[in-house]
Amino acid sequence: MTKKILLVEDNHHNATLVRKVVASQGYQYYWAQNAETGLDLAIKEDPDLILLDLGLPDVDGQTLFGWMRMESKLDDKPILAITAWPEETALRMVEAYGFDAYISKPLDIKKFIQTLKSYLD
Amino acid sequence: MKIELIPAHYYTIEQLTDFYNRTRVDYIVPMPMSPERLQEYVDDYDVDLEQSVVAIDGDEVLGLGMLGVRDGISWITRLGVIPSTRRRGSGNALMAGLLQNSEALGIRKTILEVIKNNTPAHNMFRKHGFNELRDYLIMRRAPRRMERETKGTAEWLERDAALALMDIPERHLSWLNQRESMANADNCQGVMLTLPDGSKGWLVYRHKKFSLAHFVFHALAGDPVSVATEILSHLHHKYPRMDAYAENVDTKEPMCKAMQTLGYFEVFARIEMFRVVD
Repeated sequence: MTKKILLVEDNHHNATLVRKVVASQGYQYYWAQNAETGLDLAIKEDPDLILLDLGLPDVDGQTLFGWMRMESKLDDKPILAITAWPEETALRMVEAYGFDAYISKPLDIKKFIQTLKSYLD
Repeated sequence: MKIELIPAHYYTIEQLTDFYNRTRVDYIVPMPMSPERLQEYVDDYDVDLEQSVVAIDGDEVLGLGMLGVRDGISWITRLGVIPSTRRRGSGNALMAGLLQNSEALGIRKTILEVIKNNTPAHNMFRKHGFNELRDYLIMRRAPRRMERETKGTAEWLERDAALALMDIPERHLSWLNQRESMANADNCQGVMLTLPDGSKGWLVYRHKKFSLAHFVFHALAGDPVSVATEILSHLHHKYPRMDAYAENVDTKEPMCKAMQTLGYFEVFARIEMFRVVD
């Protein structure tokens, strides 16, 4: 069965890049531009992996992560942070909130694909 | 090239949001805003859009800066230049415009905050006559159960009672956490704590939809760090599922020390700067 990835990201260019990479690896792609739509889509589509941009303009990715973990359907899903925060801050965020890992922006495509495969294959 | 400064109120909030987000795409701290959040920011912090400015060169937007105005003091905020338009002098032009507008209102003192290690901005502010005043931290705590037992008796306060506590004229607070900012928001609450040994203190905060934010702490009796620690314990016991986001916490404040023992971590730091003209 085709693995599903949900991306919550407000920036169109970043989302397009992720979509292209995800499609190239044969995964199914879902995209939400804000936190509330992201939560709804996560519950409805039951993705195998969730990617959250921390810098969302309405409710940030850290808060969205908290909401997702409170949903029984999502509480053990792998959720990765995507962030442009400096590495030290990103690691602190990931540890404090309990993300499974983080991916830095700008995307290193090769590393990104390796990360996706490690969670989905 | 000719830089013009246009009063910000000629633009819609959606346009201003777009300009602002474009100035921040490569910023040290990723902090985009939605139009709703920017409008809330303008309302909460008494930003005067008629005194705020957008820098343009013909049809091209270069950057923007906003001016908060309160009680004879002005506050420069959201200043930024779009990356592709930098090195044309628009940052200095925006600063000059904001300071000119401030002085035209009869204001002598202006404050601002700069993110620590943002050297170009820091140097520009110094060139415009600003000096360092104090260091702030932006602290965050992820939602989780507070393991520590609570002590003492907590009295939870609604908005009016919480705001009434904040009349402490000698106390310096960051613009974001001043009484006016708390009063402009409709989600201000508080807690008064009395400990068994007679120590006492209060905390005023904003209970937003998804987070607890903008903390102002004051000790009335006893060791301030201990009182702050116990008050924050009560807060997180009461709201275990709420994210906490404390902006502009003075590094010398007792609450800062208390936060560090209760699972808060430092996200980034700011330096408050000020300028006084004769």
